[in-house]
Amino acid sequence: MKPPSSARFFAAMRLHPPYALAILAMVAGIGIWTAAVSPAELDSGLGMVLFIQMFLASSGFLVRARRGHFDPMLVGGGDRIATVASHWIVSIAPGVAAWLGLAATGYILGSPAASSALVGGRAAALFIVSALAWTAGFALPRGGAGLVWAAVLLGLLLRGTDLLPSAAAWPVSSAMALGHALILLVCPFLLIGNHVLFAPGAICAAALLSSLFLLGTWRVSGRLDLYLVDRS
Amino acid sequence: MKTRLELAGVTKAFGRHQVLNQAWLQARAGEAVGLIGKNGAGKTTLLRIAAGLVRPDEGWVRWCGVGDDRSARIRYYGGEMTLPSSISGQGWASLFGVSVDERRPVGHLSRGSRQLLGLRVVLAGDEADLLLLDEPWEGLDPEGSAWLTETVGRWRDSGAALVISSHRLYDLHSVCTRFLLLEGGRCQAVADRELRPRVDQLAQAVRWRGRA
Repeated sequence: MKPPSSARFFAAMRLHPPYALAILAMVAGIGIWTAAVSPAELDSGLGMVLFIQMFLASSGFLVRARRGHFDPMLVGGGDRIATVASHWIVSIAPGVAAWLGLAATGYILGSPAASSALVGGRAAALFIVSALAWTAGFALPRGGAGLVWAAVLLGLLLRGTDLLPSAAAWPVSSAMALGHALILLVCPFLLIGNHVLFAPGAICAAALLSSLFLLGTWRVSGRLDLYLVDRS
Repeated sequence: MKTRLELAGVTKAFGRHQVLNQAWLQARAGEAVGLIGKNGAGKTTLLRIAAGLVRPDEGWVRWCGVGDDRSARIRYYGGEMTLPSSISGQGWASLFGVSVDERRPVGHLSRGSRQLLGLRVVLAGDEADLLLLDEPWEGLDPEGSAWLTETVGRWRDSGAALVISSHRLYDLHSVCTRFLLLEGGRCQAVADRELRPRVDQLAQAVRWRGRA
């Protein structure tokens, strides 16, 4: 018996339900078709992929770890942080692949949003969603963080909370930039489209905060007790 | 004999529930330690601490003479319920370089078949130093039990250290060289002469059932 690499192990563990991957493939297909018909509409496909990534990245580590599913990878008190990092990479991989496929298509077709989807604000939106959905869903069942996040966004929408006016103005102070970064953490979708222009500092701060949440969760995971919880 | 696993002064509580209290455990190369105790005595917790999956509140765990790649040299099996249900039996085994002829998803297998699959994977090969098995005979039919007993004996004879928890004293007695009773969060050594009458009684019951 040879233990596989963490990435291979988690890839075989089916962290995502097949129907979610089918929906992602369908959405990516629609996005590519839309971008082919009208390259300026790349953002609609990116937005849909970002929404699905909220659910896919929230693959839930702790629940399955406490069922003992990941025991072979965690035994011996080895480098748990590296194992958990692999779990994150495998969790976000399908969404990232779909995103890159869309962005590459847009780039080939000359979409103005394509370069930002690869290295700019749109790419930051993907990173924020990938990091925060996984972090928030660490101790929740699969898809849990996606559901909570979608419910928060829906709640804000129904209450008519207007995030845009305060975010639209370029920050003149670091406190304002931090405020804008927090808005982006709640609603990274604001980085998709051309209606709001965020200052690079606010985008970087949001990405940095997401990284800190992610790294903090990896670090905490190293100290967690993986006692067995019976699934019955 | 080289010591492979040492736990000393291990204390663990979950909330207000004190599971282990100054428990100790030692397993040397070439010996199989039988861990017995009532349900809820803390056998699984002790084994998961020994596997590095749960951290003790107090005390320490030491793996001695185990190679650098501990995830390869220490094997822990927590029972059939720890196998992921969506993956096929073949898929699970092939992840660890083991070949089995079971294409159905793990969740579609009977409890005994799942147990046997998990054990066949964890007991495959010969390159581990320490094996920790939690209730390995549970759910197995006589043929599976016999295979497990023989395989565990082979591992022990090849120089691996084993710690096995089980309620099946008869099976445990057939492979283990030493016994520990976990009671009140503490481990106590059980002499063979103390266990022997109970095992003889069980053996008699097994023979009686066989005649019936």
